[in-house]
Amino acid sequence: MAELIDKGTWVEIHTIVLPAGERAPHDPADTQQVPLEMRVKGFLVEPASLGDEVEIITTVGRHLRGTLVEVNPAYTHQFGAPIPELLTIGGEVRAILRERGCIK
Amino acid sequence: MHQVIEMHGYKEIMSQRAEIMKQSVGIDYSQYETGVLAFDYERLLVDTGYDVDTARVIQSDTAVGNTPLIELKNITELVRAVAKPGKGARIFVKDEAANPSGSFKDRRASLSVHEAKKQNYAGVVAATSGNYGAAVASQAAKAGLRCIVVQEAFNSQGIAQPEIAEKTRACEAYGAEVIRLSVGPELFYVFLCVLKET
Repeated sequence: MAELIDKGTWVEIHTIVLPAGERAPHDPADTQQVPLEMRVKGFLVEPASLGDEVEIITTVGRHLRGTLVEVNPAYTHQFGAPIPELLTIGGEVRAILRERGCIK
Repeated sequence: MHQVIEMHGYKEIMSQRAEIMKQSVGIDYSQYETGVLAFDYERLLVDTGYDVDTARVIQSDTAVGNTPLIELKNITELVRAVAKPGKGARIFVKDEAANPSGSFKDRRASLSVHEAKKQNYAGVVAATSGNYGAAVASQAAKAGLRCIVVQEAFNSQGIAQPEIAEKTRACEAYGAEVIRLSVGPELFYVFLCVLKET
């Protein structure tokens, strides 16, 4: 049996708001083929396992239902690789300023 | 406030669009539409009672505005390197990042939240994936109002754009409920559903 997550734990739920095929009529064809999904965080109302249908209380006190997908979800992103084309710009700019006597 | 979010059909909600907006904010926006595209923003400001001086007072109450004006000396010099003689004005920027939530969006968020508080609303809702969400969440926190931000946040693989992920974090740090959606123009539809429920 999957590990039970305590009541009151900060979690994220996932739901389908509009299934594929029921989206806005003016959406492009490839958008129509995927559902409109929703993710919201809140405190778990009853003990549950990942994948269960659960209820949460959000920070503003609303009760929302959905599939439990994450426990204490982290904020993550990365900045990507440096852009080679931009790396030499600083030197070029400093050369112009040096030529004009603004910097040494 | 005990509610379970209830989604309605897309067409059903969108057909009630004007009515839901009118019930939520008490403003019939259609009266300011002066043509197919034009919107009389100045008349809206006059009718709602926010002239420039009033706005300035409300903004300064939450440390919004009065941001520093900074001369970009190197940029001015670089422009002069390529400008024709006699051209190349001094360049200044207004550092709007010095506003409380880090952008000029605090300016209008402070007015909206001020009005919401004046009208005794329990909270505010905004449909935005960017700085406006952080601004509304920040202002709501200062005013003691509850805040819900609806974001168009991730693609169908669940991957979020970094700038939007950062706004999710900021809004949640300010205490807002953030409804993150996959991309699509139905952001406004979910926004209307939330207004209708709350």
